[in-house]
Amino acid sequence: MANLMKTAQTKAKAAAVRRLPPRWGGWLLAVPPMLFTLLFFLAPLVLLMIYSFGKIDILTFEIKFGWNLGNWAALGNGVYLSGLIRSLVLTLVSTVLCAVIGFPTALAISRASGRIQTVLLLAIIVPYWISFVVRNYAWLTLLGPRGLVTRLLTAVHLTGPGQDLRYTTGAILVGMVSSYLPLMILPIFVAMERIDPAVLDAAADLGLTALATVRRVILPLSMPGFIAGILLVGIPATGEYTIPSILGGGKTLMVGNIIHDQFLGVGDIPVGSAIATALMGLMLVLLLATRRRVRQLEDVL
Amino acid sequence: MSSLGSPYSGPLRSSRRSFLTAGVGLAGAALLAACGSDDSSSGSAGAGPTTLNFLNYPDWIGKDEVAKFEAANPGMKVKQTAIADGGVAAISAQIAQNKGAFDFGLLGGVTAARLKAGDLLSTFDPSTVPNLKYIPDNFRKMFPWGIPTDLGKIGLGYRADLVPTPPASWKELFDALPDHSGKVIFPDYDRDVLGIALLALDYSVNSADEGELNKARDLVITAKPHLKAFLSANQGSGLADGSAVMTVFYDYSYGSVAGENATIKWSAPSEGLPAYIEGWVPLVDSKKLAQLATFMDWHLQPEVYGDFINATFASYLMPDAESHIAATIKDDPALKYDPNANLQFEEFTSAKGEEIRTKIWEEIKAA
Repeated sequence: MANLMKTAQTKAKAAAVRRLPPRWGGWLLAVPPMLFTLLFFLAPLVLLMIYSFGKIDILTFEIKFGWNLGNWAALGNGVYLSGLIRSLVLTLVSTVLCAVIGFPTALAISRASGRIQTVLLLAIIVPYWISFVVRNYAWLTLLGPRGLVTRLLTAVHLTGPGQDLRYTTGAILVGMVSSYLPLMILPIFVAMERIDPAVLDAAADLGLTALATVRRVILPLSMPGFIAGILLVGIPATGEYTIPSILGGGKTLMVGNIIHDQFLGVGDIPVGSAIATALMGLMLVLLLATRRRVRQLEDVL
Repeated sequence: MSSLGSPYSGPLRSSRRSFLTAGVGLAGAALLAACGSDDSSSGSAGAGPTTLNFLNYPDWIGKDEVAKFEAANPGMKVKQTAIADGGVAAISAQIAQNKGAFDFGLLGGVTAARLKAGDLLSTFDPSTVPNLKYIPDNFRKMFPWGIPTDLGKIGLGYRADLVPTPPASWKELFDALPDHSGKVIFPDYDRDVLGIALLALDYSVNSADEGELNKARDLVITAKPHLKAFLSANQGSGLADGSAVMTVFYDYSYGSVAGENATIKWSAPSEGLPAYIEGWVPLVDSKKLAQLATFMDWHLQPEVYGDFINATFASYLMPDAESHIAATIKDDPALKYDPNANLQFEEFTSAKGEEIRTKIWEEIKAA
């Protein structure tokens, strides 16, 4: 009996030991990534917020920290508001364009057979390997008065001969759509790939035309992909800085350019921090507002 | 409790410890790397090469000047970093935010004066640069913060075949913009754009009056829809390919494109040309002032200076270097120094004035 009890106690201890290390070990394992996140992600964000209440000396560029609400009050300034509104409008238009172009493209890829599908996917992905900046400089040439795009549009009488399409809002949109399109196509493609072929067969058996199948079956089932694409395109596009810098000719400023100008152009880190924090807050609110939909992304991302 | 241990706890703990140690080590290394500066280039006399960190416009130096200087001065290196685009505020911010990272920079008079007011320059001792004698006194007086290297002017370039009668004044240029909508380029430089707008309105190029500056802002904002772009470089390329008919640009930009197309012409509007002297200036916290003086003196040798002018098409300040300067530059009315030209030299006025100009430039760009 005593032996039996001893054995039971030993087993209980062993079980306890087996349970304990994972709890502590798990925490210990989590320390480096937590430290990393704390140091390089959260701390800079906190610093950004602290800086947003500071004030800069325009000659020495020294920052006096305190409780200066002037930078936040400045956000109501038309200059910053117009930049923000312009960013939101351009983001909305480019996201819609990406979705409109991305959906049929993803559909075509998902319907293609094995090898052709691979080639089509590579055609979407490979340009993405080229530097973002280089791709946008390439557009500068293509949209120039002697550029391929301009000549093509001239040939079909959409533009006058020798017209320069660079440095316009349209050029910025072209740059944004071409840069972000893969981020829309790929999640929609993944969502489409997960549609059970039996569902499509059932739709056909029930007499739905191809167009009706797309509208009533494929489109609703691709929604998680759409939402993922909208987030992947919309969030970085709102803070876009490079594309308007290259293709906008310094005339069309988005909020990303205004933040850049505050940090590096004027050196007013407190105002730049206030705008950046406000933009981050806005994005966070939008994400939280759509969080129910975001849950659908788990299968896609 | 851990002393109870399972058969696997020893090796596991040990492996976790190693993992943690490695992780902390890596994080530490990353932190050090992030916080560290470019020590390899900072150098100090007697311990490896001394590297002079030069904040410069890209290629704004003689073609082989650095290589020849390094060959002639073993143990000395020059490392160039591109200066910020955007104007006085951007350059000042770049220097202030990287205090100690650069030993000297190519600065215009306004930027140098502004940095001096903010205590962001090192004191320049002219006696350490004997070749400064080749630069005429008037330019040395106008640029006391370092060695003056060249003179810049902002004028009007145009295509004579496309604009047979160019605007004779800055005011006429602004009035003519709707007729050439989308075909005119402005520089992406705060001081210069505000300068021509102020001159067009009959104000001083150095006005610090908020009312006058606001009127200049309104004029530029009204003109903005008709502009093709604000470009920080290559403002003349539009004239060369015909996508622009007029451009407000620098004399050196004109010099670099005039040879490409004979129809590209330079015009000096009647209100005067905003102008500036620029030069090499020692920056705050530089510990290599003696070595910098050596490089400055090298740069001001007439032959070296001539190569610098030939490479940059800048307006030269050194009459003694003329025999080394290409005839196309010496004979060009845009590049040759003309004491009778109506030059409106840009000056630093006050911190308040700079603050207003900075704010106004933001408003112009965001409009």
